[in-house]
Amino acid sequence: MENLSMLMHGFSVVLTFENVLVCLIGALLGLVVGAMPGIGSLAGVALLLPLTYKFNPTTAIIMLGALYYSNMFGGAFSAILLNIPGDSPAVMTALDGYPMATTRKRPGQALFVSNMSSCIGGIIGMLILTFMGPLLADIGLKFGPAEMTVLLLVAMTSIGWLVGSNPTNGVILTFVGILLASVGMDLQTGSPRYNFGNIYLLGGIKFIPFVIGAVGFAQVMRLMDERNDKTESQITEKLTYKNSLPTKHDFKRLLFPALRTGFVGTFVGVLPGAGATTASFLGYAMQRAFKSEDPLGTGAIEGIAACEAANNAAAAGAFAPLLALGIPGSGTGAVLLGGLMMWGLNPGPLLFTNEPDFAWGLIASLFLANLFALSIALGVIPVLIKILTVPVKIIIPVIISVCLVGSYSDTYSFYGVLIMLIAGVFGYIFEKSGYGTAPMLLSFVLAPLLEDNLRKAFVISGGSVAKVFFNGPISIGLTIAFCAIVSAPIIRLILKKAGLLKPKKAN
Amino acid sequence: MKINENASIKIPTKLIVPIITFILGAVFFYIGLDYGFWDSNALKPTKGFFPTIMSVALMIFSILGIVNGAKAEKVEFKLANWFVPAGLLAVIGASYIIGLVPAIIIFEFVWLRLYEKVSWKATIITLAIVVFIVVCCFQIWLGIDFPVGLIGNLIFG
Repeated sequence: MENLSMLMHGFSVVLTFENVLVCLIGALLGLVVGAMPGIGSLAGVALLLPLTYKFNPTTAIIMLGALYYSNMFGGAFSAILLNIPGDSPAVMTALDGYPMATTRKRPGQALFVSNMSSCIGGIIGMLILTFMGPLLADIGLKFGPAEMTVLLLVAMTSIGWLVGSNPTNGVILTFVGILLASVGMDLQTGSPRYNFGNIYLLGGIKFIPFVIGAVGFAQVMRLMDERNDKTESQITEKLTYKNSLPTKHDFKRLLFPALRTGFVGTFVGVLPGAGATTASFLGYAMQRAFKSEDPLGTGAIEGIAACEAANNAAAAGAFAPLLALGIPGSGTGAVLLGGLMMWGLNPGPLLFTNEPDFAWGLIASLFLANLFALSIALGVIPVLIKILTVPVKIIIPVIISVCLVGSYSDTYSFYGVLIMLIAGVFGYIFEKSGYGTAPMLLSFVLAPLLEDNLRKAFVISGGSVAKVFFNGPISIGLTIAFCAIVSAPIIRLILKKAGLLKPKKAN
Repeated sequence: MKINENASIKIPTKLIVPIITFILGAVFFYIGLDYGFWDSNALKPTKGFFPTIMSVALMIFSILGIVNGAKAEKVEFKLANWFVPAGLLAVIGASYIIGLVPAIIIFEFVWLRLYEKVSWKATIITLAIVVFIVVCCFQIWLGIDFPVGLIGNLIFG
């Protein structure tokens, strides 16, 4: 009950004119960014970061949270109407969404089902977050520097391991991110470190230009491959609000799959590296075990509901470890965490105690963003095709300019632009070579926290490695997990060399 | 001279990337050792402690990456993708003379109208959106002073 009263307090924080307005703007931008194929929530959040300078931390993160969350709604639009998922979690939505829109000639209903399921999944995720967030924080309070060190190592390497197809590549970029974060000042002694005599590097590699480059600018370079693609809809029916309304029977069909996968999706969202995409895949797979009125893959309402509810629930669930332990579960979470740290907030077990206005305000804002996203999503149905068919070649120069001014405004100099450019070019080369940049962003954000805890743990242990990594049951368990994660690529390579594991075809 | 934007080059970046990360690890390791690893008097780690350990880990995994990348196929890079950083560099260069905002507007116009051959209507709408973002959001609302360039300095002092 205490959690619910704190949630009410959160609503009192959110329900100011400024916060409601930024939540609405965040939801609107998130829908647009999510709907446009190729941009994605990570780039969307990264590009929007500089626009939040003007706000206080609570308002700023409300905007970013709303953007991230409503992005999940938007991703489904292009999946349903164009068969092009706006974001990776919407890949599964296309399997039933597009056939329902084209073969069954019910595009409006497909969008409606998707939006309603997203809303239901989101509400489930947020309710679980309301109770689980403080619970996780209580567990986190039991963690000393030694346990936090191993937990952070597990979180960082597991995401490097889980994201992308090659675990070794993910782990390599995890360590690259850690080393890049070491540039600047040693926070404990205040002395310069790895600045190579450069005065600009004394302040370290700036987070905003770095993330705008590695995500936004790299994405524009990739979009050049798609700039001549024609995004034409095969839908001949005119989309109006009236002919998009689902029947009572449609609603009955979506309700149970949405409730079921909303619950499961939330817990998938809590796991590091899993996130909305995994939740969406799992939700769809789970639906196969249950009865659907139409076969899955032929435009079944149950299929759309299952994956949309799961991915929105996961997006909400991902906030639990982010707020309670300071550990993001995805690249987007890492950008949000970087934003929080930039505004002087330290997510972790003490956040709910020290910054209740912020923590509960953010959770309450997600409920609000959910309602805004649903209303906007339903409201834009008649003009959706026009939004979705904006050619990529027009979007490219706009994003280049946003990257430029966004990175300039962080440093008030071209130093920020230079960081953005270098990060962007390397981000592009990394991605093309099979090195996903999300682990690098995550480790870049978490590295100072890891270093601080590691050094504290070694001071407490008097230099004993065993006392850090085998301090108690929590440390031992996490150390075993960490060893398994980092040794897996090595074992895989040995097995491959010994001929016991079939090598994958090079892509 | 006409530029063939579909021209491409194949580079073994799957091998080059781990080599670069290995070198990065080696540089950080070498400098990290110079910073010191452990203060045996105060029994505490020094500022080189953490990056040195991490650079060793990076070098180990980079060797794995090199082994994996040695047999991997080369990656194709198209010339058109590099127009993006080239365009950005052109805007930066032009901003020293005419200022950042005019440089962005000219860049948008050249890209949309001359390079992509987008219609006048779409060009004007896109330009209006960009001007709104740059001038209204960043310059007026956030109060960012963008460089006015050599010409701007001559006019406005």
